[in-house]
Amino acid sequence: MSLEFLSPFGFAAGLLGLAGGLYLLHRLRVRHREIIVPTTLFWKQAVEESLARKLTARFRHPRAYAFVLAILALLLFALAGPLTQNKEARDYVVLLDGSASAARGDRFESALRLAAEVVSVLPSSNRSLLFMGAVPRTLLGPTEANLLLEERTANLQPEASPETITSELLRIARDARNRPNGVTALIVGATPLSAELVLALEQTSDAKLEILRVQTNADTENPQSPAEDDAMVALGMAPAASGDWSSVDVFLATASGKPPTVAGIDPSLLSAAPDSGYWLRDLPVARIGEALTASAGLEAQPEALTLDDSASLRAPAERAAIGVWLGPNTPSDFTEAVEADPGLFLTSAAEATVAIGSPEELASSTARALWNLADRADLDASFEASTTRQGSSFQSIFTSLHLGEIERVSDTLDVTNDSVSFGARQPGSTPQLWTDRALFAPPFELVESQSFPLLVGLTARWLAGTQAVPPFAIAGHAVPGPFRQAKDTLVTEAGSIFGAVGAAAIPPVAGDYETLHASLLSPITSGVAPAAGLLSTAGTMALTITTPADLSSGGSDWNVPLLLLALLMLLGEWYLFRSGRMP
Amino acid sequence: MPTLAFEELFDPHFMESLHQLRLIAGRVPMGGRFAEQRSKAMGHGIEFRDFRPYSPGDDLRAVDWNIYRRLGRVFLRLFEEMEDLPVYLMPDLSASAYTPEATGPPGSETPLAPRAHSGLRAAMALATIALGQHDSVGVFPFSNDVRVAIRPQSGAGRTMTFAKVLSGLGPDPEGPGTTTDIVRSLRKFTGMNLRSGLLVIISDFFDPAGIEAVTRALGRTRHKLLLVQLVRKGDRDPDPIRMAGDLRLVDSETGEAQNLSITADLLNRYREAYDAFELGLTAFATRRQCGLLQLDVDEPIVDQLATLFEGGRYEA
Repeated sequence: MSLEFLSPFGFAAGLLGLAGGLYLLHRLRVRHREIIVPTTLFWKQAVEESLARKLTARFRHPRAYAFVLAILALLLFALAGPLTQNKEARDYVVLLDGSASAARGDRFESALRLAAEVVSVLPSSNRSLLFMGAVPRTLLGPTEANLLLEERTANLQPEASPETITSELLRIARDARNRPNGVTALIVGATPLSAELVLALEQTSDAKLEILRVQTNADTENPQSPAEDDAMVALGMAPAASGDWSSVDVFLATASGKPPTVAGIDPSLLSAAPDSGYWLRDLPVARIGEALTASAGLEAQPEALTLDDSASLRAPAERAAIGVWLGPNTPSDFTEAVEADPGLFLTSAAEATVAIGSPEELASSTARALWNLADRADLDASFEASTTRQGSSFQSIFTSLHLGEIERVSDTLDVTNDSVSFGARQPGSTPQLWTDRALFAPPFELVESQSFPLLVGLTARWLAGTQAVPPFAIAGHAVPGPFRQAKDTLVTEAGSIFGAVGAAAIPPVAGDYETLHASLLSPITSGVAPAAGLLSTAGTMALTITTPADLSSGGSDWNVPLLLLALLMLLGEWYLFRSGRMP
Repeated sequence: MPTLAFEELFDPHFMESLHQLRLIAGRVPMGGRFAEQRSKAMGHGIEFRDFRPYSPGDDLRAVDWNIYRRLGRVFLRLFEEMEDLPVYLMPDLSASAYTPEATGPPGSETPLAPRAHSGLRAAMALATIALGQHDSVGVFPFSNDVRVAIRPQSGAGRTMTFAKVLSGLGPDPEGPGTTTDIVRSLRKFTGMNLRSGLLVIISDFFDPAGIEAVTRALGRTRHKLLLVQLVRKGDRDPDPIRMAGDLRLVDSETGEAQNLSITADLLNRYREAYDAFELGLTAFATRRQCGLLQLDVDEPIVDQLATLFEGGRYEA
């Protein structure tokens, strides 16, 4: 047996308080009711005079005290909410889907009613209800009264956001390891969860997490029309790949793949990205104004779910220039390139953000990032992409650097028996880029190229961490397409093998990650978010379906019997009082 | 303290219902007026009682000539003398008889008529009966002393006078007091040297001196006794609603307060004390062979008097 609203200690303390309070009341002097009688002759003979008008008196009515204390104890016990449970007490977390997809039809209202029904049958001491909107919020905590739910959900609406249940489930799975009786997560809503994810979560929780889906009729009564199911799924902004300091590149994507509408922008400026989405390149920041707003164009469809129809992005704040230190042996062309770039400036070695030079010059550098210009024999890169003069591979380097559109390199460039390499270190250490010094000397002489200043600017920005769309193959970032042919796999220092391109586990940013399961990591690249309003039925059947009736079979409520017993005792006390057997 | 309304006392229906009742004395003492009660005196009544030899000076109209003819001796026929029965009514006007008592749950109490009112109505009934049969009736109300309200007098025509006087009786604020002192009152009454008659004491007998002192004083009186005890059902079994919890009982006569908490044991002891009181009164009545009527003040008077006047008459 457990108590819903009071801990055993709280119940015992309350009972002691009641007993003590009643005892004091019984000890306090009483106020006698005055009655005039014809004679007190017989009373005098019958009674030992009770001591009145004293602060304390002898304990007068032990039987009445016991009766009242028993009745109050029963009421307190009923108030404490005793609950017997047929199975071990588990913690229940009800997750109410409040993402954009819940806004369709009356799905959210139905889910809300169902959630209220679910929490009403669960023991309140170990159940909680979370609203999974853009940010998870607790609607009912453990031991909070169900009556609060109506007030707290009065103005609750789904929010234009991706579902957050997955990340919350991960947190619950980790937390469940420390719960002796385990945790049951009850999902109210149509959030799709893959079987692999459910399995991974259960493994993470050491099999202490059970995930169930509470069935709603709305799931089957309101099928969604794919034609109406579109959304903005990506809106990202990055410094212009062209190096134009006053412009940005904007990446946009819709769920359907149709080109979005950008407020104030000519649709013809949109160019399709290689894989999916659209680029809006070299968009002057001045044209963005307050914010850039893109729409999937669903406003004209009355039945469409428009929560994710539009997305907006604020214009970038003023960017700080990056301090660059150049080693003494660095070609002077680098100095000119840095001075020409409005985002870069030359500074001392101690204050530099990016240091460029030979490995010897950079050995003692305190800069945040290093660009090593080394001989090929000294290259110390974890990832390496090399090319030779054969075929169009040299051109592919320029293409991968996004420089191909600026300067076309002739495939017939006479580069005999030489090769150049780009490389980078693993994340976690100081970002370093290793470049074959030969690239800047004859016969390649990239310093003579029109795109050389752009190469310096982009590289320095990426190394400083301000370039969101790096064109380099480096840990933590998508491997640009041209390198796919160069190497099939990338081998890390730890020996992990990633698929070269399109690998499932590509962290969204460089850094240390606790890789729980591949599917937990969203395949997010810069600015791309998963669709919120999209309804997918894939994986929804991976969960066991339950109903409130199934959940309520776990225990029985003692409140009513206790209250009835207290009432019976009250009637008994009244009878004893009326019959003169008890004062 | 409310007095009894004249109309309440001189109700025609009430008076009519009393006509069938008679108050009979076994033998009234000699010296009374001619009336309807058999007396110890021989006289000119109509009920033959005995013969005796003729003595000079006897009334010749009483000679039984048939005996003289048969026996040759002169005897007189003796008849019972019919005289009146002095009836002395002593209604209790102490504060206990005027205590406002209530019934029903606390907070919605409906005051009951003081038990003195029933006592006065009983006195009026007995006076009416006695006056109707030419007996003399006197009224001597008492509390802690006795006083004379109506000197003994007879005549059915005085009924209204009695009603007026009785209806005007009440606890006299200028009187001797509101406590009950039957012993003293009887002593004073005896000192009046009234002709021996029927003394009717109408009281609750709640004398602080105790029932033993009361019965001792009653036993010393030379009058025939009729005790009318004014009772209420709640006297022995207090109302469990009204008499519950922690109480401060105030004696209506002495003003003494008694703090107590009502319990079952206490109620039992109370009943035992009351039973002892009743037993003392009943045992005295049995021993003295006097009448004892427990008059429930909340029930009709006449119906209860009828139980006393078994066969329409009460023989004192």
